[in-house]
Amino acid sequence: MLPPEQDIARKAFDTISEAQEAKSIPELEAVFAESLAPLGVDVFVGVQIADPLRDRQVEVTFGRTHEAWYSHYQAEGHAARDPVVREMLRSTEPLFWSDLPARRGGLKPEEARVMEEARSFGLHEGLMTPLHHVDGSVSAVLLMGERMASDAPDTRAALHLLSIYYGSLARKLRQSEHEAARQTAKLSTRQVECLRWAREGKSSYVIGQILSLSARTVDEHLATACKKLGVHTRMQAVAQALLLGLLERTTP
Amino acid sequence: MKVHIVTAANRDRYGRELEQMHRQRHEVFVGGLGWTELAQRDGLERDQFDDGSAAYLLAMENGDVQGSLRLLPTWRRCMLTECWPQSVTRGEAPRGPGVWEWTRWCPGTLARPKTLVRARRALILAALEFARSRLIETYLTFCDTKFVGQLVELGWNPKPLGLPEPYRQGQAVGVVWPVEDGLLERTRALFKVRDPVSLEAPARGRISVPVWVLEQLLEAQPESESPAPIATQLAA
Repeated sequence: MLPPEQDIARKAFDTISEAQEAKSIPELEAVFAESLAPLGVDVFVGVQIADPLRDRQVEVTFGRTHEAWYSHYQAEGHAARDPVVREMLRSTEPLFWSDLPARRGGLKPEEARVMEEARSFGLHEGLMTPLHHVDGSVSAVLLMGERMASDAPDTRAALHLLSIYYGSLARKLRQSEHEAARQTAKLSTRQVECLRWAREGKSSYVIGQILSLSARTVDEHLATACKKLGVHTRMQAVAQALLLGLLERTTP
Repeated sequence: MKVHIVTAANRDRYGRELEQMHRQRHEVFVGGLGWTELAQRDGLERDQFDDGSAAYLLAMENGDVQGSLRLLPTWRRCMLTECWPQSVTRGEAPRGPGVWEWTRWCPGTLARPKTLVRARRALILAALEFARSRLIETYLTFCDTKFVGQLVELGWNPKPLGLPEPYRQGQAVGVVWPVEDGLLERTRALFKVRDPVSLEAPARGRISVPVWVLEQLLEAQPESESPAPIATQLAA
């Protein structure tokens, strides 16, 4: 039984207030799960599209996914023909799956197949909300479910509003987690120098020649950097340090 | 990029710049976004809220207006309560001293994306500096839903005043957010900006310098090392 309209709006506002207090992504997910479950939403994820022009891929960046459907989707390479992904790339407006045929003026056979297969995994309705970020990048929040409510205008508006807050609050939390990781992984100048040369593919011996250190000292610097970054190999360390922005020229 | 604060007190200095603003608003809202009901034969977009109570933030560079924002003191004029009262379903929209409304957000055109990004940042910071100078506690706006996520990302805490509703080509919603202590400093840190970006020229007095001269003086100063807030220098 669905809650009456008034309650849907009020519940959405309460969820948003509570979510703004959340300190971590799991906490945020718990808040939204409680609000979305009564509306028939089983799956809610943040996604971004890698390589939108050529080998289009959908990556789930946070949230509660549908494992079976997601791995089937990836194995089939559905991102290339998924009409929802197309709309994500070209529209700023939210989209309910049930509105797809009307919005697109009919689906191509391969597009219809993606939607048909989603149904066979028990995902009958969905909502895609594009998010345009401050830095100009685009991502989206996807809600899906077997019995997701999408008839009443207030329910639709509430799901849209919840998606916006979910996606942007999660992004903000992820950024501050990155910032925290960057703070804890304080690398010394020498460690950063060694990582920069390791990124260029130089061996410990060569790095030692460049920096006037013994190869053994270079090994030690890199081993300490690995420990600080919580990884095992020097290439992982380079990748992690790049991700955290620790190898930029401005970083001491 | 510096932002000039234009009010009824000093607007007679800004004839040319205000016209540039109205022209750019026409280009962006009518030409770009297709809000055809705002179209004007003279190519200058203005409405009944462009009256003496409005304050304008004009982002200027090279002597020209690159972007603008109109702020309305809600105890006099408020678009949300006058134009879209039905969109507020969660209590009442705050109104009164200390509450101002963002309207006609126009940071520039996509034709010049880099300028747009800089104008956007400058306008956001200037609005917070303006809030400090006027003891503003609360901002509100009726905006496209895509801006709500951006407000969240900025670390502001926008509170929806209702559910989104269809508006022109998109969805819009009323939101309100507190101008918390330290919001200006936090936003400056986020944008990696140290110094004030806004200035408020005094009303035209006996000795009055044209705006383009002010602009040249400002641009002669390296942005990173202006010794004191420019607003204070001018007021002194």
